[in-house]
Amino acid sequence: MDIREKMKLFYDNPVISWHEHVGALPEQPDKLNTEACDNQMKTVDMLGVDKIAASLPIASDKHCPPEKFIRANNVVYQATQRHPGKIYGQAFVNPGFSKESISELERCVKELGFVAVKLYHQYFMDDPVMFPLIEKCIELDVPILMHCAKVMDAATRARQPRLSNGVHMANAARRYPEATFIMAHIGGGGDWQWAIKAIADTPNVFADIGGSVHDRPLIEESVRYLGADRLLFATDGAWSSGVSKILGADISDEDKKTILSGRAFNKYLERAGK
Amino acid sequence: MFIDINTYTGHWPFRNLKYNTLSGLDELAGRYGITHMVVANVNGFFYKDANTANLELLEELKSYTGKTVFLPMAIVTPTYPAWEKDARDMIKAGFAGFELAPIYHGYSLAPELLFDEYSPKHRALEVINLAEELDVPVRICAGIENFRGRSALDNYNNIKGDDYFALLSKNENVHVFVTSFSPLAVGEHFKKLLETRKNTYFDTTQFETLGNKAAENILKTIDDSQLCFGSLSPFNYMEANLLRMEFTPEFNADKMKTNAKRAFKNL
Repeated sequence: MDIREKMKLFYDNPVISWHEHVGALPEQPDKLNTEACDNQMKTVDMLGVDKIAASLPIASDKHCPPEKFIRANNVVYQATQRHPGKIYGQAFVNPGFSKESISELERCVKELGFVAVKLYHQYFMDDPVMFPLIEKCIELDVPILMHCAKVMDAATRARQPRLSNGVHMANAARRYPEATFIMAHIGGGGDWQWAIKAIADTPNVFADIGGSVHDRPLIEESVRYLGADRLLFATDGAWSSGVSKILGADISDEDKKTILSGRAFNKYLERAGK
Repeated sequence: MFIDINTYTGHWPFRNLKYNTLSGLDELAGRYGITHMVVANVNGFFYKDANTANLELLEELKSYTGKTVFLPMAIVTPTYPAWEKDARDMIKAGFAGFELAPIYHGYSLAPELLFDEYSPKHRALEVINLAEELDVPVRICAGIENFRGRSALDNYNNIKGDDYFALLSKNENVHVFVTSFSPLAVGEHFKKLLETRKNTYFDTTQFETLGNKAAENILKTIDDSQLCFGSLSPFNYMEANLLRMEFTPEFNADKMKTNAKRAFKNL
């Protein structure tokens, strides 16, 4: 079989990616890089992906102040307006600025129609500084997508000392069983077996399959521990890697379709579309 | 003809593998019409005497009845006694070339002085020179798993572009597969060498080419006669590299499937 023939699974079924990014122009951080955004959407179309949820986290600033995350969210909003019905916004905030992050989340969800919050490595997921934000997410009924990896190398640990992993996600999820968490990119480079086992017993933690690592049997093991309905399709920009995990996994077509469609999360997109 | 230059049999100490036999790889190859696989037994990365892994692969080849044609690479450890005799014997036994795994066998691609020696030696070059004499290619493995997720026991220093340069500039006649290494990381010296050393081949296992400019940049370093299909099976889902090959506008899939043919004299 040709790989193009196998891609029918993507072309013939609903496909939502829950972890993508858009970027700003290097010299104009308040302006969407429209060329990169449009190019990305060409790839999205080529691969049969129907919709993406995207954010613009500030990875370079551990202390990212409100003016930066507000500006980043405005750029994401430009992307949602440029590709309406295709790109959905995820609000990036730094929970260390508690009051500002909560008001920004509220603005993004209520005024800009964003569908989730995206957090980076400013704090661990189970840090008490997160609690007010998690409570606001419960109130607004939006999922929390957290940048995660159980990294084994010293360089990444040094760069991201507060990088959450599955254990932090499970701790937060046990404290807030009514919240909905997404552990980001199980293919993001860390020990993915650690990640899925850590969250296996916390049903309100979902996992996106994004990231550049496509180790076999990442998907088979994830389905075994979490079930397909707790997995969300995503690539985090590693398009071939993300798609390959679905095409190559030895799981049923039904499970593949469940992951691709992200059924449990469609309500967020539908609400944003109203 | 459709050649996959990057496959292994054997066990991996850090996670369970499926399809890690010749018949398992044959099953994967059959899904997409891959006709040939360049293969080594990864057990040889961990055995002190790597040649025992070559013998295991030889035994497996004797009983293999599948459709895919395997091009077996004998793992050579040039720090080990009798390595040259073993290497010659393996070619006589039907191996198609040699494989170097310096990161797992504790030597460099560059000349070096080991602790129990009187003077520096360039061991990897001795293997390359033997390959030239026997007219067979060499595959050099840059690693298997992503550095961020490796086991604490799988914690080696990555091979640098300058290491490849130190070796491949000393013998430009041998066909060499530099697998699981990005042409974007070759460095200045190796990049310059690659302008003339066209019998150096890379696969796409270490870089994403969809939705970005990686392919455009890679083709500034190597030309499309040097880019091959490699899947790193059974460690990875092979579909990622199939997608890169087929969906990257800058790549020529027909060439990527067959470029490796030049390295094997009887193919």
